[in-house]
Amino acid sequence: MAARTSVVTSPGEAVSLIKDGDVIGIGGFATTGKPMALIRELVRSGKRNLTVVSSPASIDVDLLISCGMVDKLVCAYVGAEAMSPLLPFHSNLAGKSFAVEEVDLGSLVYMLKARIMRLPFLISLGPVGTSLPQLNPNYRYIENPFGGPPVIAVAAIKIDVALLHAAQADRYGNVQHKGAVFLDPLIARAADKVIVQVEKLVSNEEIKHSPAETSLPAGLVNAVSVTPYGAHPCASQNYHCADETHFKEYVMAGKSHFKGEGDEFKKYLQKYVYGVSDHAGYMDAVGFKRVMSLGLEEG
Amino acid sequence: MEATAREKMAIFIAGQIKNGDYISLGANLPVPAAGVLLANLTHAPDVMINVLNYLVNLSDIDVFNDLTQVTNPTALKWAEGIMSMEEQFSGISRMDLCFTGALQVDRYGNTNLIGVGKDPSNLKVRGPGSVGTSTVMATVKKYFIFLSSHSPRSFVEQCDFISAVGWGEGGKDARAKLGLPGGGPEYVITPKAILDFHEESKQMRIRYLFAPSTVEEVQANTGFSLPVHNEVAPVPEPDPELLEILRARVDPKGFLRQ
Repeated sequence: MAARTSVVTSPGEAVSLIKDGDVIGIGGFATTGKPMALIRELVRSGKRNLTVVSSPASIDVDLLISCGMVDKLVCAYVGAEAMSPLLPFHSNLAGKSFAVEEVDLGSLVYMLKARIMRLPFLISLGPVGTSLPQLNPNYRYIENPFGGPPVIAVAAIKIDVALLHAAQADRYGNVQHKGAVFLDPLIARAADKVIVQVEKLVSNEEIKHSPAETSLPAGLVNAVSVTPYGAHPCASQNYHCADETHFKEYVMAGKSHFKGEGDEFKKYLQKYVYGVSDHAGYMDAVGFKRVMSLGLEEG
Repeated sequence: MEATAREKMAIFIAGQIKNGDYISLGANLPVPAAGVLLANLTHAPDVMINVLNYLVNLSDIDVFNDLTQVTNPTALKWAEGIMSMEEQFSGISRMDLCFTGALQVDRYGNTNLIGVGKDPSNLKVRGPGSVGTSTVMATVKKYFIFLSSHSPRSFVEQCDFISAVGWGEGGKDARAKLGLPGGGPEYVITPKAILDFHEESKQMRIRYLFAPSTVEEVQANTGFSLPVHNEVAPVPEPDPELLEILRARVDPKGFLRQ
């Protein structure tokens, strides 16, 4: 009798599912629940010519742009709220070093949903009258067959590999977010392959104690990587807040790059990405003291 | 200490909220967030607040710690419910009030979060993006536009791009002509003034002034001709008791006093 398959794998192995030129989908929301350990592994892997489809983003997308990995971006927001309303590489290079297909979040929901249902498009009212149809060839006015003003068809969007962060999973790939799921279930279901990094690995019995909490079922998930604090410097629901000091360090280094003081950003990348070999090395670079200061009570 | 402009804006917003309203807090809008929380702690205990994907009610909370990071996962500890993004966007027609910021706004309340410049591949200022505003502002019952400064750079004759439609090309049927079901923008709130829209033309006009701003000063800082409401008036000085609650329970870190 064959044993059930474990999908637990290292972040390095997991991101080897991604090829040059792929469309990757990134979950989370702005500065929360971002799969940063996987993103840093992807940067070290040196993949190129990626199309990035992301939920509202911050350092996740900005870091990929900073390393020249992004050809096209489909994302409704890049910023870190009050910590930094704009992020340096996105705001300086959008439309210049990479193409932008401008979307709004509501329509992106329907674009993912259309892919999941294998529909060519769904209808959205959000972009009507805005500049989005001029900025995105996947938004087109169409006649409303039932009468009334034209509506917008938003085309299905296909993803090759999804990168997500969640609270826990079992070895078979049953994933539980234990909080908001953002666009993660839509991105996962619109993707051919799904990689999820989790704070902790739990038993299949524990998953079965709370099956209603399972946000992504086994079978949908191709790889689970165990990366405690892997959303850092973004927040992780139930685990820790965003690291404001780290965000400022990143943004300052990025800004210095555009002022022609390139060293600071190179140093940042060396310290936190290229100069470490894995997530444990990253956590060493950040330091245990810092991580322990990010408790939820302080928020 | 006298109320700051940010505190007065928050207190004005709180005053617009009715008990039982369903309200969404957008990203990076700490002043409107303060107004909503103040209302929930005082006259509107049944307000249902949508923060990120969470539904929260804060009427029995002692202190709200961080206004500046709405996606802070601490909000989860107050959550009474969680919606998927799909449920959230499909249910905006039930929402009573929400807020949007803008890089640019025109006389009809059309807003731009995309960027400043004519050529999308070479923008002078690249904005954060439209977030959910296109879909939310199309459908929500009403919304307020919030700007943290009032200048001709943000109040423009024509937005370089439109990410959320307000009153389109003007006229009270502008939104119906486009098929947008929501009620459109009601107020534009800045540190200098509160602006509303003429009932028929839907053209922006000065409704209230934050002392010491004057009509002339507000007009001089607006990049289009800005009429004045017949009953233009100063924003009333905030009730000292409300101000105290705002400072002690909504904004203990003093963000609004900066």
